[in-house]
Amino acid sequence: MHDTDQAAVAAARAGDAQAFRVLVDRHGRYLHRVAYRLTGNHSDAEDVVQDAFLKAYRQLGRFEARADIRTWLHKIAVNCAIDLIRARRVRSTPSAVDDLDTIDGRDTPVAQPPAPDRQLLSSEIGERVTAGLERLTPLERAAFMLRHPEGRSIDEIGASLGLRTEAAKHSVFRAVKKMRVALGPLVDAAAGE
Amino acid sequence: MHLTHDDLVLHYYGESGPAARRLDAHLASCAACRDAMGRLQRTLALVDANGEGEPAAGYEATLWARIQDRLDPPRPWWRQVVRLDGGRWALAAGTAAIAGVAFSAGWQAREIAAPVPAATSTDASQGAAPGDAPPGSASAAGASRARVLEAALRDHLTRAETVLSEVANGEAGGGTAFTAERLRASDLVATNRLVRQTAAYTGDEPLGRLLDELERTLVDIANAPDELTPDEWRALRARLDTQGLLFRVRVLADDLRAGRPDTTSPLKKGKTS
Repeated sequence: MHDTDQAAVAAARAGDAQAFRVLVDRHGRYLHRVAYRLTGNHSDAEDVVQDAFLKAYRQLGRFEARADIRTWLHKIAVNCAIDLIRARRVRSTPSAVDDLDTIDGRDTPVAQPPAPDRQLLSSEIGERVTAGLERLTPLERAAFMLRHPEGRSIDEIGASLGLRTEAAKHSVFRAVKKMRVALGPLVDAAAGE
Repeated sequence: MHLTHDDLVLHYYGESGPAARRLDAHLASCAACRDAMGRLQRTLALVDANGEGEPAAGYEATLWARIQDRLDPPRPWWRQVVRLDGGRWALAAGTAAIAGVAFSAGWQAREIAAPVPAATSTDASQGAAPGDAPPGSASAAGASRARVLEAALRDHLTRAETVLSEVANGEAGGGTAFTAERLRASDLVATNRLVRQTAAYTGDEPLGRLLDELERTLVDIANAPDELTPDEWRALRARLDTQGLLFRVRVLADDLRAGRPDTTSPLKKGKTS
């Protein structure tokens, strides 16, 4: 039953909540990863995914049956994440780490060279990426993730996050700079193999 | 001179614009910058390879438990587009009435403005009070039109007051749902335009100004996103506060509902020219 997304969408549109559950089961995990990339924590990601599914259910009537439901849900989740980030941005104060001059690695714990063993390296990559992303402000993280995995242009990022284009651009610059500092030793190690 | 970090990042993302060709040429000729670009590419590839954000096992069941009781039945597409509820029909009827009366008023104005034979220029309605006019006279027709207009205006202002009140009292949470207010405002824009044009035609400048401000606010609400950020809520509320729009709409709507004689709108007086 509901072997395809199209069948599940059609049944959900007719009021079958269990058919909608099929969509939640199929795409919830994926949307969580998308939301986590943008928000940086599981709690916010859960809220975003929850809101995205509730909104999607209300708007199922607008969904083009021939379109890809995952793409549609992805867009809704990204918009929900952007709303949450913008709301947080209003309440938060700028971080001292926002200053570009501080991003030169001197205030970053010096990364130890990775172990030569590839398995260890792989797990260290995850840890380093996570640590690098944690050094980003929420706005830098959102701008970076919208630019990097989401592939949105700087102009689009500015419009989404309520920033001027220059501010959006500098958020991406700062984020990439921080990631370079965090991941530099690993890049050197990988290059040296 | 070497490329900066910012140059490299923009170029990596294909956003270096007209400078792209120059940057490509530089990278082709400068080993240091080529190396820096390579390091940037490898850094960002590590980000791509990272699988962070995977939720815990059983996440889907938890998610479903959190949302299943909050699912409102989805509306069929035609309900979302047409929304054939009673209020909508009443609004459509009001709009049609205003359109009809405005058209009729305009047509009559044309007739009045046109040269007429001397024998018909002593129309009984000229110089007479509306209440004195015999049935079927131009003044009686004007009074009848005024009543229809007044009813339409009262209905319109009551609906607008509801929308403005919801905006003024809405919750300012992140991503607050705004769809209902947006759709209602959208419904009201066309009616407001007709009422405003009628007010302009009858020379009611205060009412025209109020409806002009109301229309701009309704358009803003209608064009707002489905979910408003707290910033956007604040901006809309600030606008209502600054203009005192909700207060003025409420006062006029109350006056019309109460049939108070101090409602000085020419629409109420039956003025048509």
